[in-house]
Order: sequence, then structure tokens, then C-alpha cells
Amino acid sequence: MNRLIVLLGALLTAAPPALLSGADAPTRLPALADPQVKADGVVWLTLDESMEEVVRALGRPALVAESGGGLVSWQFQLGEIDHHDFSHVLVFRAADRKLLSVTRNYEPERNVDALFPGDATRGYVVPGAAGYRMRVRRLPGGRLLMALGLGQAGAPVGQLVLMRESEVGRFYPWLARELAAER
Amino acid sequence: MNLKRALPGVLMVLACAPAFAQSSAPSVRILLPEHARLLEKQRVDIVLEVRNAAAVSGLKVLAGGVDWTSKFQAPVKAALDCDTSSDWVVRADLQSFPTPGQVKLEVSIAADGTTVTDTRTVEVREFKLPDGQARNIILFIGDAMGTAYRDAARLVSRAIVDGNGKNSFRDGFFDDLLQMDKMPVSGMSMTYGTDSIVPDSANTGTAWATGNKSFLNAVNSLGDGTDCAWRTTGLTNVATLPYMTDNPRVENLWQYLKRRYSYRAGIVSTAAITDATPAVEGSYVAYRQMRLEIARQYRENPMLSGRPAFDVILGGGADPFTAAGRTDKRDLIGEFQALGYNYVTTASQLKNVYGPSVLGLFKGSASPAPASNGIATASDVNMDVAYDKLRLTRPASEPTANLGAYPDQPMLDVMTQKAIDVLAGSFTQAPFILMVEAASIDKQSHPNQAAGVFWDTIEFDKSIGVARAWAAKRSLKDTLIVVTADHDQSMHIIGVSNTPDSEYFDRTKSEKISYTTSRGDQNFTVWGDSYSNARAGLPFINTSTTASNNGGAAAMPGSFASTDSASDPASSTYSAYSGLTAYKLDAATGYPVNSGAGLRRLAVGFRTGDHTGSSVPVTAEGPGAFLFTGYMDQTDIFFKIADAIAGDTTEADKLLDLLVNGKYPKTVGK
Repeated sequence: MNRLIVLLGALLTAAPPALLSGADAPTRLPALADPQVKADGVVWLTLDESMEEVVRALGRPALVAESGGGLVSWQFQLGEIDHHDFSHVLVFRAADRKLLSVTRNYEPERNVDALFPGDATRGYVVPGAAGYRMRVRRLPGGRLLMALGLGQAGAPVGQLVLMRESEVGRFYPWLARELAAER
Repeated sequence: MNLKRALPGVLMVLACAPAFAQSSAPSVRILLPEHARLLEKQRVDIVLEVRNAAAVSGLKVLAGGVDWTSKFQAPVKAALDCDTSSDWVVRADLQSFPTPGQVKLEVSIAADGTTVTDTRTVEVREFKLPDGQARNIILFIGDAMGTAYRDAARLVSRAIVDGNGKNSFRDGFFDDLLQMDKMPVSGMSMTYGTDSIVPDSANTGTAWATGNKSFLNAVNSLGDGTDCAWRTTGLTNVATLPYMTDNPRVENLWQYLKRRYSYRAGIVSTAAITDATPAVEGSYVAYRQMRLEIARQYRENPMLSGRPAFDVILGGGADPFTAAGRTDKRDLIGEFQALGYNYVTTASQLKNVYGPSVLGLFKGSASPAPASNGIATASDVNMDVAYDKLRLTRPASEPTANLGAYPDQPMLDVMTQKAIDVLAGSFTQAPFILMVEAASIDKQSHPNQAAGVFWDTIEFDKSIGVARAWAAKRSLKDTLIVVTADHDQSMHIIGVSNTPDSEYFDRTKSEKISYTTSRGDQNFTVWGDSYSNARAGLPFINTSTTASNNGGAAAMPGSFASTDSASDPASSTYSAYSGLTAYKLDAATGYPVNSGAGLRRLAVGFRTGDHTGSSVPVTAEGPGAFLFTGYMDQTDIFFKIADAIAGDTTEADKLLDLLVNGKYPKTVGK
């Protein structure tokens, strides 16, 4: 009974998992925290999730930010703890609560080559940034999976972005122009 | 057992959406805050944003009735607010207001034939350095050093039991207080940022360095309409760099004094030296993680026409200064050396180095490389903490020390002494401004590593002692010392524990507590040092209450009675909340030791692993110190330092001297 009382007390006073001490074992991440490579492609968030569905999938955000252009950002601390960046940043359009993008940060950086097979990926040179390329893979449902880096095979990346292709122009206008030119 | 979360996690909300951004009518906005304050001739970028206009013309700008229109560049098309509207930006960079007073900025411009206007009143404060008055400023920043952190350093380092068993902390009084306790003037500083009541080191540093507030992660930069592309999307990389480098900049006091009055300038930190707190003294970026750009600006400062920002730089984090770590492959270390800087990498080298300019980088990674985001290095390494530099054994729950290839790192007080000696030792006898940061009070507090926190704060206090001793020996009382924190964290003082060393250091015994929710497992671990460190997530049960949320059991951190006594981390611990701390001193190092029979350790608790919005103490000593009394805003620190440098503080200094040395009651131990 003592243990039950203590555990219940722990719940009532517990901080979110990402705030536990560095000496503790890492919390298991929600299933949709990271993209998974499957036989038929990549399984991750569809960007059609409602805010309520996001809460069910990832939990509640640690921080909510409103920004210009009618955007709302939800920022999460899941798994690895870095006190400068959030593990996940989700951007919604405030008007219709539509999910526009998911940014997944990794510290330390990790190899994501499996998500970008050669035949499904194109690289785009970042203007003004010598050597930096944006790997882009089109996913069903009008989504783009993107990773920025030095473009060498096996080079780890610190960030994955899942974004509606229709919204790329907001954040990467140069990429939107390149994608439009291809169509 | 499956348990639903009873309460949501802590939720923070940022407020940063300007209401005008939602309108479709043309508008113009001056990107200066409502409470903009500047010193006379302090530089600032004046940026105008025009929204919802296909064409603009006829700009007119008045500043205090004087026509400033010609200072502005031609309007440039811009993508503001991450929407599809047609917008423009008009800039006048590095401007300043020459005359003190309330200066009204008035802007009008035709946007699609409609004249739109905006005004802003800027308080411009006088700053004229009297001939012959050359005051030095040493600003000490204990990162995250709120009240409880100072208290902890006192309770550990000033409760020392001597060979005869006499404790220097008896009946609630200390024989000798901390160096920062002995400074005569105290106040409190509010630390709120423009977008959050819980700030970070960057926007708080911007506040004291420039006298103006900004948003989280901003280094001497104000918000603008392209921030939506990166600030709240997480898209902080070389592809969004144009949006992170267009923010209006406000000149900080270090460059202001160097530029106008040839002050010598220095930064000392136990962090990577491009981290936020040192960065606010020498760079201007909208995002603190732009480490490559920060390092470049130390070498080529935009407020100093490309000259270096500092005469002395001492700290960790060599990577962004190396060719291998940079995307532009510049060897900034080599460039500093070519300019005459003496470069050192160890404590031994630091001991023998001399000026006029010194660059000391005491830790780096084995293979520096740029990060994949193109704006930072793959790693940026802080110096090791005092506890580990002293080779003390870490308690069971804290990671063991690993100085790796850097066994000879200087202590902060040694770095402080050298910085002062080099800055003050120039043949020009120019005054100096120096910032000294104890960075890992914060960095140890984030993972709730109490031992690391305590000893870093003690190291910080010793460095304050170095500065006080130096200032006291000056024939002229010409040095203002200010000690404060950038923000607070969540540690608090619980009491005292007498956990024996056999449990406190035993890494073989721990107990994992797990519970499963619909969204995954939650784990935390009880260790033998948990009675001294109730980490966030661990319940701690106060014997004095039977409140429903702590179970009422008479133990701390709770009755984790294991069925397997071999794994029980606290099988024989007796712990008390009352009593006084009692440590022993290592005479060789001058620091308390964290082991030994009869040790009564300080017991603390953490509520979270992050910053808080609590106000922080400010203490001051020297000419103009009296200005630092009372409750103040963090931006006031900038103006108070400026007034102390340039003002006539003679009468107030005499009054303060009378209060301190006269017949008034004195604090025991001060």
C-alpha cells in the first residue's frame, strides 16, 4: 500500500518525462515520435491529424507559441533532453487548425539515409550555403520529407522536417521555386 | 499497473503574435519596442516593415523633429509573417540618437497610395564620461544563480568543521559569509523576456548588455516579421539564415565603451565561449545557436568596423574557432594570433601568459566539424565543472568525471585573476569592462546534479573574491563589481541529510520506479544520494505535513522499501530535515570535500529541469553601487552600470561608506 501511495504521489508531483534527471533511463518514445521505414514507404504523421489526435499521439506540448501569419507552434520535449532545442516542433495554421509541418530535432545527430533512398530522393543546393543540400522525398498526401546537411552519404543530420508541399513557400521560398519549376 | 497521468505536464505559452499582422490593410511599423531605451550615441538598427502594399513611396522619417529620411536605404521587397501578402522592409542600420531626451520617431510612407504612419518614443539617456574618470566594471553572472543557489554555496562552503570539531556555522550564524554576501548593496532583478515569463540566458543577457528586452534565444537582436520562418517552427539552419540575420541589432555596453572611449573588454566563462552569456557581450544574432557567426563576430565585430570585440577571451568551446569546425574553413585562432593575441589552451599556459591580448580556449572536441544545420559546430564543448576539476568523487546519481584530453583546465578564479591582470595591465592604462560567468550552475542544474551545482557556485564566489581583493587594493576606488544571475532555476533548500558515504557513492544500488501510461512508460530512479538530492520527478515527503500529495510517510524521498534488500539504495540511511550542515575543508584546494565521517550534507530538491521566472538577486560594490538597491528590471542593470561609469557618485558613495563602516548594525560574518 505504501508503494501505491508513493507511486500515486509521484504521479501528482511528477514532471513530464523529459525533465527527469539525466541519470534516469530514457523514457520510451511514442510510436509516432519518429518516422519508420516500412516495406511500402515511410510511416509517420500524415499531417491530417487534428490537434486532439496529436495530443493522443505525442502527448501535450511543453510550449505553445503563436507567431505571425496566423501560425501556432507546439513544441515538445520527448526522449533526448536538450535544453536549447525541442525534440519536436509542430506548426498548425490557426484559422483551421491544420497541421502544416513537423520538425524533428536530433541531438546527437543521426544517420537518416534509410529514409532517403536514392530513387525516391532529390537533392537541392541551398542558395548561399556552399556544400549544403536539402534532401527531399515526396510522400503520399502532398507531404515532403526533408533533411538538410552536407549531402555526403552517411553524414548525420540534426533535423528532419515533414511539411505539406503547399506550405514550403512560407519557409523555404527558394525550394518552392525549384519544386514548381519541376512540375 | 497502468496509471493515467493525473495532471498535464507544465505548459508554457509564448506570446509573440503582433495583432496588426492579421489585418489586410496597408500598415507600417517601426521595429523598436514600446519601452525602447538607449544611451546617447548607442547604435541601433532602425527597421521599418510595411505590410500589404504592392508599391511604396514617399518615405519620411523624423527623429525629434530632425529629418532622418536620407539615412534609410531604398525599400526592399520582403516576405513577412510567412503569408502571401506583399510586404517591404526599409532599413537604416547602425544609427544612434545624439541628444538625450524623449526622442519621437515619426514615420510616414505611401503604401498603394495610402499614407500610413507609425511613431515610437525612445528614451535617450545621457552618457558623457567626465575627463579623468575611468571606472572599471566587472560583471559577474552566475548562470541560473537564484537565491537558493547562493544559499546552497553558503551552506556548503561556510559550514566547515575544523580539527577541534568547531563548526563555522553555529546556532544559525556563520563566522564568515560568502564573498558576494559581503558586498554592501543588494537588490532584486526581474527577468521577464518579451515573449515568456521564463527566459533564457540569451534574452536575459540582451537585457543587461543592451538595456532592451528581447525574445527567447535572441542575442542583442529585436524581433521582426521574418521570425515566423524559424523562431517557432524549429527551422533553424543555413537555409533560413537570411531570416535569422535580418533582425534589428542593439549595441551592447562592451562595444559601446570600446568604440567611444577605448575601453578594454573581456569575457571569461566556463561555458563554450560562444554560448549565450558571453555571446551577448560580443555579437548580434537572432538565434543563440548560430555559434559559427558568433565566433566570427568576436573576431570581426559589426559595431567596431570589423575589429575584434575583446582584448581577453577565456573559456571553453574551441570548435567554432577552428578551420575544421567551420563551414567557411577560417582559422579564427590563427587570425587572432596574427593580430597579436597570445593563445593558450591549458591552466599551465594561462599562468605564464601575458597581454595585451589573450585568447584562451580550454576545451574542444577531438574532431571539430560543422553541424549539419550549417550554423553551428557538431559539438561545442563547455569546460568541466569545478567538482570534476577538483577530482572529487561524484555521488551515485551523477555521471563520473571525464576530463578526457583536457586534464589541465583552469579554475574560474584563476581565469578571473588573469583576465583582470591582462586588461588592467595595458600600457595605455585604459579602463576595462569584464564579464565573468559561472556557466555550469545552470548546466548542472538542468540535469539536477546537485553536487556539480554547489561546487560551481563556490568556485564562482571565489572568483568574486579575486575581483574584490584586486579592487580593494586600488589606490583609487575605481572599480564597480556587480554580481547577479541571468535567471533562476528550480532548486530549493530542503534541509540536511547524513547519508553515509557507503550509500551516497554506491553506484551499484539503485531502484527504478516505472509506471506505464497510454503514451508510454515513465521512469525515475532512486539512488543512495536521493536523500540529498530530490530530483524533479522524485516525490519528497516532508515529515512536518500529512498533505495528501506526499503520502505522509516519515521519510524522504519516500518509502521505497524494496523486496530485495541487495538493491535497496537506502537500506540504512537516516535522514533529517533539521540540523545544520557540516563539511570539512581540503586545505590544499580551499574547497569543502564531499565525503567523510560525520558529514551532514545539504539536502536540496528540484522541481523541474529548466529555468524559472523568479526574480534573482543583484549585489554590488564600488563606485555607484548604491544604484543597485531595490527591485529593478534586468534592463536597468545596463543603465545603472552606465550611470556608475559616467555619473558623479561621490556623495552617494560616501553615504554608502558611512552605512557600511559606521555605527549601524552589522551582519554577523560580513
